[in-house]
Amino acid sequence: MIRIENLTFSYHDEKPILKGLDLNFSAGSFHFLTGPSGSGKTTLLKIISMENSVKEGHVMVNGHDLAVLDREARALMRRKVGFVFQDFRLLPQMTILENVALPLRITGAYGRAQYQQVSELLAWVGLKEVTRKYPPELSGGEQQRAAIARAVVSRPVLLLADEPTGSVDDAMAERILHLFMELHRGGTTVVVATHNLTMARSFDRPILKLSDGRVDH
Amino acid sequence: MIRLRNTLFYLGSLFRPIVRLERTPERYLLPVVYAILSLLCILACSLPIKISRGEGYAVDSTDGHLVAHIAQGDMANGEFSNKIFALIKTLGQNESIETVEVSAGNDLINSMTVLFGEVALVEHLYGGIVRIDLIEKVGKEANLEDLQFAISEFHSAQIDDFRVWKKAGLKRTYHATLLGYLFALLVSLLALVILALTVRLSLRMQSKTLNLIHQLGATDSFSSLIFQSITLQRSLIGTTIGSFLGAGSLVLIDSILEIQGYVGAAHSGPAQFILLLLVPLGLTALSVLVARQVALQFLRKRH
Repeated sequence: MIRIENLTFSYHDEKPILKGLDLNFSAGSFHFLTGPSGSGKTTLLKIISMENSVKEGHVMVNGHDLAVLDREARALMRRKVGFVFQDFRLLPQMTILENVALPLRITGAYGRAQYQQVSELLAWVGLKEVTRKYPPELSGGEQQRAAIARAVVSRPVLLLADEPTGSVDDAMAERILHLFMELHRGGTTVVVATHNLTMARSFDRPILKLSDGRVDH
Repeated sequence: MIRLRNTLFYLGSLFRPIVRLERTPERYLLPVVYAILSLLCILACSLPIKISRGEGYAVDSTDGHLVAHIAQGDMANGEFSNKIFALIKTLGQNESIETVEVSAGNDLINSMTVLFGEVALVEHLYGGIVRIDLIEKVGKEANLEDLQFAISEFHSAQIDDFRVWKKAGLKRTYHATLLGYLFALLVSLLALVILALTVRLSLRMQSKTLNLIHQLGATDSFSSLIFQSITLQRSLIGTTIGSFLGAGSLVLIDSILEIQGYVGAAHSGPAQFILLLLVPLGLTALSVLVARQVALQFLRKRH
């Protein structure tokens, strides 16, 4: 699913964050990515999700080399990737329902059935009562759940989550990770970057530790 | 079938944007900018049309028309009248002349006051003057030397051949019309630049939204469609306001011209009122095209 070869990355020619990284996530796998702040977890997820461009090395997603994909193909590829951003990135001018439905609207696949699907998903993450509210009216935890709902609404083949449980309590964190597990059982490849090593260990899934831009085996 | 579906999706998205944009101050500014541009374009385009209409009026009203002004001079009243009657008879017998009309006294003062607007001035200029209007037969050009010879008894009299000064006048109006079209072109180019800049401003203001939808898999065409839709809405509001202001301005200009005595000469005709419909529609269509191009260019540079 994801093959990374000799990936080196730095922002604006500064000190490299990722240094010759080699990694392989097979299709349908579930990995936790841990490491201290600045170890390159977020950067790696941003490169896989095509938010950052590959400058040195190769990143293959679903058999496609990201460096050679044209703009249209990259956009279509992004539709297959769900991303839970650390800073949520909900649009403040749109309601929670509209925010969560956005990936479906972008693909043009939004009708009555999808509306029902979005409503059910929002109910499942405990946001049934706030579907018509705007993100600034919600707490951090609620916003994070909305961001997760948006990432999974289009049933992506690859789900990347950057600290998805950072702003929720333990019970909700466990529910969220169980949702990811459910998607994983359905065939979705999941990569979760987290600081919460204890919780990651409780799920009995491979844990990759990034340290100083490399995988610490 | 897919093409039809895509077209319907495109049209639907144009009138009902899929992604709501942030409420930024430029959403109030843009309709105002469009209104001003629309008004400027209407005025700029109506200027050459007005000049052409004035020119057409001047040509139509002076074609085949010759005038002679004859001053009484030191002749006695009776002698002067006899000679004028004799002259009219001679001129009327000319094979190229259709009609001969004479105006003098109050008739002349009344007709000239329309042009000069002041009775005292007309009386000063035309006191003791007889005006003879000669209308040529259609397709026949009178021999000016013959006519000049016929009136040569009146020393100061001269046949005023409209053709002579009309030629110079037409040259001047041609230049003025050309200048008018140049001005209209300049305003349109300016409008184009302002449109491009306002769309760029809008894109910058909405960069957060753009980045997110890009990340969620929006293609460049999809993202630009949002801006085309917003531009369409704001442009329609702005240009409609501009059109109303344009209508008011044209009516105002017509009344000023009427007060100045240019009755009918450059009065707004149907062409100028069609502008009130064409300019907003044209400007709106242009805005949408500019929005598409600028947005695509911006997105390609950004992501």
